[in-house]
Amino acid sequence: MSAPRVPLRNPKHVMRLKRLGSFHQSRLSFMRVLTRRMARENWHFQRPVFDIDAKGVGRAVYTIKTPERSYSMVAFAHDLPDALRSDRVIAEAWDATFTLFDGEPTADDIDRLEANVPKQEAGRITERELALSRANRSARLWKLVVDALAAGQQPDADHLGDVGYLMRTTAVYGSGKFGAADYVTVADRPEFKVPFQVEMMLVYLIRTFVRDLVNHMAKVKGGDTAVPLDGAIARQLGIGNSTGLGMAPFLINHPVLFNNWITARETAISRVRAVARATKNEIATFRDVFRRYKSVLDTWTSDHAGQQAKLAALRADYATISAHLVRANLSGAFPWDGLMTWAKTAISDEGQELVASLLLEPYGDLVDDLAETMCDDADDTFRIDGRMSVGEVQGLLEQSFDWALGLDWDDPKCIARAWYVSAEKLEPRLGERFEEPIEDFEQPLAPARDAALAAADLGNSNADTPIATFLMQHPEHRHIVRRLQVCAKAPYGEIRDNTIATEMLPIDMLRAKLSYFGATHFDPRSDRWVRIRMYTGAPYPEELSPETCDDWVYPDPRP
Amino acid sequence: MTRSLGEVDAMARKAARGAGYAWGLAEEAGSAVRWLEARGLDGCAALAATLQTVDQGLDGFSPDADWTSASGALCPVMTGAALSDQIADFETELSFGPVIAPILLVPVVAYMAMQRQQDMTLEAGSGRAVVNGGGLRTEGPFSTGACAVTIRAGGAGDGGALQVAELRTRSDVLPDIWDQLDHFATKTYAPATEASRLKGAGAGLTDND
Repeated sequence: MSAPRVPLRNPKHVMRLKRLGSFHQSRLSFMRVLTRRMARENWHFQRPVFDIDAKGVGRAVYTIKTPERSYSMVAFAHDLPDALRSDRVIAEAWDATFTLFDGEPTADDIDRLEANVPKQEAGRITERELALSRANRSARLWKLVVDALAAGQQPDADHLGDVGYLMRTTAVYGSGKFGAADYVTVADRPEFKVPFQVEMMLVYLIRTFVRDLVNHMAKVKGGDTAVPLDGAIARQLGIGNSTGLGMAPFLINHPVLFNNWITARETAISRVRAVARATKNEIATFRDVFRRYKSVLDTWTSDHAGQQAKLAALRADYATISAHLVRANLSGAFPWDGLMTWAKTAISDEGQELVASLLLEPYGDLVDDLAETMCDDADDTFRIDGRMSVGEVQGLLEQSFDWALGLDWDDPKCIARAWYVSAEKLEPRLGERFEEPIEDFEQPLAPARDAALAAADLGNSNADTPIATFLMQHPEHRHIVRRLQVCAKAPYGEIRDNTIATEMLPIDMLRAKLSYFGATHFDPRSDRWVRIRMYTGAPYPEELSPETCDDWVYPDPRP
Repeated sequence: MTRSLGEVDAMARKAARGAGYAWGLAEEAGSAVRWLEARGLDGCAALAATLQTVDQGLDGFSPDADWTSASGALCPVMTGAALSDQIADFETELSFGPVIAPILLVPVVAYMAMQRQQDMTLEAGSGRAVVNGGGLRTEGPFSTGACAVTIRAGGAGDGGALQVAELRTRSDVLPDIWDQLDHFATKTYAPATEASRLKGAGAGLTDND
């Protein structure tokens, strides 16, 4: 296609944490890419095993048949005492545990998995498994739903909306973790080319299992009186997810991948802004999803003061946009560019990013191909180009980190935090550098600080010196020099904020990543972990069709 | 039990960091060990031997501009990184050493072969590796001790055409070697305290609701 009339938004503007922490799901989100594919390729779903007893303990297998292959979720349901239920990564038992098996497991495979999957991090899986996960019940909602169904009643939809899910996953481990197959071993399969499709597939099946399990438990309790959960109510139940700090380092450790995600969405936005005239249908689709988005907004709550303020702003933005859309002439020239330009000064970051995501909705034909560009298949980024001169590296440094060079890195507030890995569960944590004995264990997750340190030593070297010579004298800068060379080709690879500053909010990084998964209802539980909903509104396997597979994110508001 | 190559890469990187390498060099260790294990070569054992040796003082094993070091022996991780950075300067042959566990240099020589689009050979003690863009042939056992190394352009032509290496997806690293690496990797983990458990991971609110 011809060069876009509208340039991509500037990384200096997009890659601020405040903005990344305001991102919303879009057509390019990984869950929606998966549900579109499932419907397009007419995937078949089977449940060859559902062997759960009256206490809710047992095993189940759900198998997906794609045109070329099959994948199976093997689930183990447990009877967990309330006191042991914790979303934290330090938990050691869960209500249910899961793995995604490559193919269809034999009875021996399931026995092997039963000895390992319930132990999660303390067990081992193999190359036959692609992902590992676990979930806990929402204690109050689970009981409410089982009791209602057992008594022959549908649960009160308002109660369900408050929580939004019957179970929440507390980790979904993929690529190579705990013995699972490395992503690269399946990356050539078309269904896994878009990132995180393995994990999204597993979570989709978990949601189906959870609905089946709640029906099963109601039947056990109520016998012939019990009724199954109503389809429309079930659809509004997603799967919850509790996400901790582990996702934040992922974004910093995969700058090319992150760049490709951001670039895909920015390119999509730019393509739509370049649309000279919108058709009546396109305008109607946009107005329709905007109207339906209100039901997401109406069910999105948080106890976190920061998110409450952002939500208040977003609700005000929604009203402002509504009023604007009454007046705005979307039939005129470049309507979407006009809308984005208006939004930039009229509403908050939350509202601006909502508009940016929503205006992609009428344009699947124009933007959906970009999903395929979101993977990182470059394997030539590891080697450092030692011939590059010190002066050239300084140039790269200024490109990504000019903003960081002006900060006072001697100010304790600027380096107040340190990322480290705890001995306890080998999980990433964020500590207070000057209050805890963690500095010796610091992980390389502060590119801006590292760039500023390197800038000082580069400045003391001759600009013509090859960087190879510089690195022999300064091996401590090897990490950041590699990063600078990588990010020379990845303009959206670096977050343009200080990731160890005292005021930095890790939840902004979590939100950015989770928005690409397609999550909604971000509910930070502190500055460091967040609950979200996945697949809220999505069709279950038997409901998947070209009509239902895509815009399920926007349910029709209840009258 | 086999390990995923992701686990191998992460373990090698953490172990090198735990032994005192800068992060950028630890990344080189992870990459080299993964490359070797993917080709059925014992990269984990080579790194474990290296880390045991340099534990006496890393700086003594760092190469200078003449490919010599204060201790007399060269660290293969630092030497490999320097070679990788300076491949443009390589002419046709370079001899140096002794280098600890020299098999760790093979991934860099393979990179040189790819850049130069020709066969390259590394000889170290009884071990020999010939590499090109995708092919690899190794002969003789590679020492995990220190020995003199020669890298030369060309394949020394007598062994026939190189087989394109079939890449493995798993490593069957021995438990003992894995434990040796883990001993170093553990040094990168901060001891858990109740404060860090509460604060560092961000708990506070009940999650049983």
